[in-house]
Amino acid sequence: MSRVESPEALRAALAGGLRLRAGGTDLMDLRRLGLRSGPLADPAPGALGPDDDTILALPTGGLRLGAAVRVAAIGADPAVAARYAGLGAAARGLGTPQIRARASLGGALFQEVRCWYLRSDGPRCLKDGGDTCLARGGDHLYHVVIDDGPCVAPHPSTLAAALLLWPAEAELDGGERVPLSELWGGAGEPRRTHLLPAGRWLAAVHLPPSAAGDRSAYARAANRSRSEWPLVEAAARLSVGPDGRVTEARVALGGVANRPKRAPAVEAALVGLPLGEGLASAAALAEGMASPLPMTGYKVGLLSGCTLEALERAVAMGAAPAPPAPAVVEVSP
Amino acid sequence: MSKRIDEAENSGLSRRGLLRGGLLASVGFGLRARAAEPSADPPASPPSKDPPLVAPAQASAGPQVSLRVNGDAVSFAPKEDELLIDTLRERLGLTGSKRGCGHGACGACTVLLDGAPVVSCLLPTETLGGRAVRSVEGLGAGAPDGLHPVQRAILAQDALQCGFCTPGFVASGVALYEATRGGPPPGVEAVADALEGNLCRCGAHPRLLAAIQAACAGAHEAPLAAPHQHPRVDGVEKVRGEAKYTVDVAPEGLAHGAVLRAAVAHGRLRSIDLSAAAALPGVVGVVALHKAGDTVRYHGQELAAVAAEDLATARAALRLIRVEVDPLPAVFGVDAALASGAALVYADAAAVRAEGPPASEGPLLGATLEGNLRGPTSSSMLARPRAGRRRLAEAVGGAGTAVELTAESAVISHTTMEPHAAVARWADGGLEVWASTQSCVMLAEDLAERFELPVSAVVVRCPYVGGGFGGKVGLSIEVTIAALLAQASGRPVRVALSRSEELAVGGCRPGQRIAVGLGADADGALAGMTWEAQADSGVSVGVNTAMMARLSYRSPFKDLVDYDVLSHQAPSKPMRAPGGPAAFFALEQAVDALAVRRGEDPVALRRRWDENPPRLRLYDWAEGIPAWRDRAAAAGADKGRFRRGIGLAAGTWFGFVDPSAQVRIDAGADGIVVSTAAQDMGNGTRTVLAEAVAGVLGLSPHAVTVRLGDSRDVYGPMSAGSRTTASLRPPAVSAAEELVRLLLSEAEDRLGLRGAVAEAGGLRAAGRAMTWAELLTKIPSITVIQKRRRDPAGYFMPVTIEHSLLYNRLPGVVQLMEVEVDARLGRVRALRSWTGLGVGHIHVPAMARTQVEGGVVQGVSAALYEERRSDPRTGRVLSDGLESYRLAGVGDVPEQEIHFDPVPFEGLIGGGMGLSELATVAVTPSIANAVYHATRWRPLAVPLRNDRVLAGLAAVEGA
Repeated sequence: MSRVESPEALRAALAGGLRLRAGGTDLMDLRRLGLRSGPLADPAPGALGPDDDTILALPTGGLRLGAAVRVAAIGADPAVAARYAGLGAAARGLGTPQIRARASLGGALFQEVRCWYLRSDGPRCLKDGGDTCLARGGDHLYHVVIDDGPCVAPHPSTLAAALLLWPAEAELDGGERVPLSELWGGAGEPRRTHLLPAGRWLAAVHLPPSAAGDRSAYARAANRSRSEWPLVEAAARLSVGPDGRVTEARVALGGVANRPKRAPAVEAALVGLPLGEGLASAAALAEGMASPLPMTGYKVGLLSGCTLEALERAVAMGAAPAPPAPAVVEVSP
Repeated sequence: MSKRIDEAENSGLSRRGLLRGGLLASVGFGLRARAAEPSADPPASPPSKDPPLVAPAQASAGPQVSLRVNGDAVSFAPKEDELLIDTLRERLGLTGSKRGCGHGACGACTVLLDGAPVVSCLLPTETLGGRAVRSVEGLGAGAPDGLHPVQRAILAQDALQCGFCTPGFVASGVALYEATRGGPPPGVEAVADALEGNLCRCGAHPRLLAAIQAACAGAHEAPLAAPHQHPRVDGVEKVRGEAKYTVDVAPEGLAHGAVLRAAVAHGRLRSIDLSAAAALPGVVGVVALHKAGDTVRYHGQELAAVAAEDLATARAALRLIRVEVDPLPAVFGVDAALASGAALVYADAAAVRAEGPPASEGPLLGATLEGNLRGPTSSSMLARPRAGRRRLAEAVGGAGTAVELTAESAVISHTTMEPHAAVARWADGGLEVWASTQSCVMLAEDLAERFELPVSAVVVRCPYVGGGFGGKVGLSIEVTIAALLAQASGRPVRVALSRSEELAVGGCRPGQRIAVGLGADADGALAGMTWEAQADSGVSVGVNTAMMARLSYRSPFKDLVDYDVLSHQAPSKPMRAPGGPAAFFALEQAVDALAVRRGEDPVALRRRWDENPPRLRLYDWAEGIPAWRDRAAAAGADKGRFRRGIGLAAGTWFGFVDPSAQVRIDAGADGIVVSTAAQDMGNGTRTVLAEAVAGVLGLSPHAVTVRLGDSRDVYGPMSAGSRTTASLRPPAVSAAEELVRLLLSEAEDRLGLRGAVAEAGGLRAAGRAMTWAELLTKIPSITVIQKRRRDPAGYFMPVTIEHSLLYNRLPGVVQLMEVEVDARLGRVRALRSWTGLGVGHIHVPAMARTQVEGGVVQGVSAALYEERRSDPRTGRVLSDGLESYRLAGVGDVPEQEIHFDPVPFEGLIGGGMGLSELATVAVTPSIANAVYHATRWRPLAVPLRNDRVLAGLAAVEGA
């Protein structure tokens, strides 16, 4: 390994063929499995960019999450809990305490899929240089229900799904900002789980200010009560106007497609309704997105069920407070 | 269960012969012959105290890293991709942190990194410069008793069995304890959240929740006083990570073995070329496990093995082995195996006899083979099968009531937290083995036969065993491989299965498809029963479920048959109550459905049919449970999202005893040592023996030492078939009584203490008290050996089959379960469980309760979550990790009440029989009946995955 102390050193390291290692909770498993190899660069604090391991309140009223911030820190952060509750709940709902204590935001976003054809010792699949998706014609009980093809492994990142609730931006090395939602692969790039260009890295994620009256929540369907990759996960954000009606709605779905998805039909159906009304019929529209595989038909019902769950939780929780006055800077450990 | 009938009708099989048949040729290249020194003591890794702070030079890739481990500064150059778990275990000798899965899912390797719980198996050591690590060995540091409050709480609650996962739970518990100090104590949900990254296979879940919660509430701040009072005599070693399991044993010169496995499910082996592997630097031994012409019958079958200086080299060498296999068509699962034209697993019955591994512990009955269907094996020996079928038909067509249903159970894996593992070394022509085994004596005998040695030349040791559940009985193949590699290399060799290997080929319970028909006549009497069971048993044979149908609800009119359906998948092995859970999943749902159809209370129906005395008393107990008594009269009354219901199921099992079991006591100035060549795989055998002897002597169980896990000690039973306590406690008591008699007589003869009488902890003579300890300093040491006597009540069969006798009394269980079904997301939760067992006298209630709770947890886990899944085209196991193979977590299990029927069995020495298997057989049907009660949907396939639940609810709602 090579510990790198600055963005310049990291750029040189990546140009030299090193691979960036964050918390290692996925990468070390991929190396154990022989799916990744080669020398690694371990960034010191600040090597991804300034404040890369802190959560900063931005003067605009938004939030900047450093790429090296631990998932557990996002889950425990009071500013996240107050104004981006759906993100906080997602961060507390994924993995295990041991994983959340170590895994970083960047690593959680750019982890590899969990498909059991990729991660067990067998023939190479699409993601591993093979020419066909082995799960598609095999056992895909836990795979996508929205088949954008050709790989049918669900996108693995809960945080990627939850961050679709806001127009979040990825701050790349050098400060360039791109919409985070544009970094997810899919049908066009079946071998890639994310589209971050080689040699580039994520420095931070920027969240826009949350409006007063915003409320957001997260829910997942799984077999066990905890510590399980979701069958379907949903996050929802509702903005409510002074008249008590929904002015903006965002619904994000994970575990269902090869990239995290928004549910535009559900969102559109909610806008204009009094808060808390019409949730079930709106959530049912999520089923229209489904194109299930032979073994994932059961997820169609979970698309609406989980969406409804997230919407109900969002309605039930109190609204986020108004964003802090500009120029007040909070620093989370 | 009896291991073997030597002259079983038309089988002519011996289990040992089968095992030898499964491992045909062995070729060894001795690359580095060097005699190892024999040693009486287990050479373990360096002890946890005073670890070497600077390890000897090793191949290193990077710069020095300095960190603190348990307060000590450590500095070294880690190897490439060195993980913290290996730094701790291999470099520093801190073997308390266990590699349970290797991919961060089980938490057995959890340590605290600057106070936060992390999995050391995914943590690269080279990134830890300047960081502080605390492992289980350091968590109690500073306390007078060397124990953290969390460790004390786990001891006090007996929140452990095998102890292999315990260090990880301790670490996660300490993290929560430290995070919540000074604030309000966490509730149960918060504790379950904190423990969600830790898995326990024995099922200590409810006790772990209670223990960690109590510790965080400050209930265990006081150091333990000596002698300890907590229930489990080997608990301290386990909570401190000091107990040495086979995977922790590291004799000097240890080499590491890895196994090459078949990448096809069916084929003919053309050649194996080991030369390139043997030539790889660092490789010290290679063996072929098959020869050209042999048939490969399942994906993952063992073909060859390599020993090397380290595991990475051994695995690299596997890739250099050239194997040529001519692939053949293969079939997977019951339906494909029975389709016309299906590829055959065995050409004929002779091939089954020669090469088919046994799937159960019972006597292997002869059976015909037609295609891939082996059977029927009938369990109707004394019954009238044709009449059963006719009377069932009459019940269907006439005035009676009948139910026919088909219930399916998935293939599930034992997946013990300690994988199958063995360390072998040869010295002076003898073989010394450490093995994670349930049967150290039998393993020594089997190894002697396999390697053509006198039994006296083989030693098997297993001081601690990280779980068994039936999957570690007899000569397991990793032991043979370790011995072959040790022979080839002249080095001690360890072979331990990875979690992936464990889940793919380490052992599984066969899947079952059981079609049961049950008829009642107009009066509600049992008219007839039909039973046809198809076991999805892979390449193995001899699965039996029908015996349970025969033993339940007496009637001569039963037509009961079992079939093995062979396919090209890994062999199943006996697993906790082999055949039992699947049998009662079918039978007890049929009984429940029949009661519903008759409009009758399900307990009233069972009372009428049931002749089992303990169970009849347990029905009284069950009817007194308010949640049962006050349940909704009609099923499916709850129409909301969350639907609650309660279900009841009955069950039975066998009572086995090993009449050869012996216990030895050595009493001297150094203390009292109880020994036998048995093993404690977590069920508490050490504690049972300590209680038995200490009880007679009037001492604390912690005041005697129990030595288990050495095949050279006096004969001890295997830990299988729920026989261990029933076999060992009686001779332990009689040995202790004999010891007291000898002590009193020595006191009289040597010390002139006339009229000495025993009292608690010692003797009294002429008004003077003397402790046993004091007496033992004044007299020569005493050794007593006692053998178990036969029970006055007699046995089902008077002949001993492989050390086993079967009681002619049957125990009983009545299990109730309350569930909640989430109709929106399809999840079933088990909320509350009540388990009533009639097993006669309970010797050590604390151990018995922990065992029963674990059986319930395993039943819940099987009913709701567990399922081996394979690629339908290649037969490759896909659920080969503990993320994809799902075990119940701490937050997934019900609150539990355990009730022991107090009536002892007359005529059985000790008055009781084993309970481990009985505790788990009725759990799955109780959940199924509860789901029916909650929803009117009868679940006929387990596990109850969300997709099945949603489809089932849609079906009843659409109806």
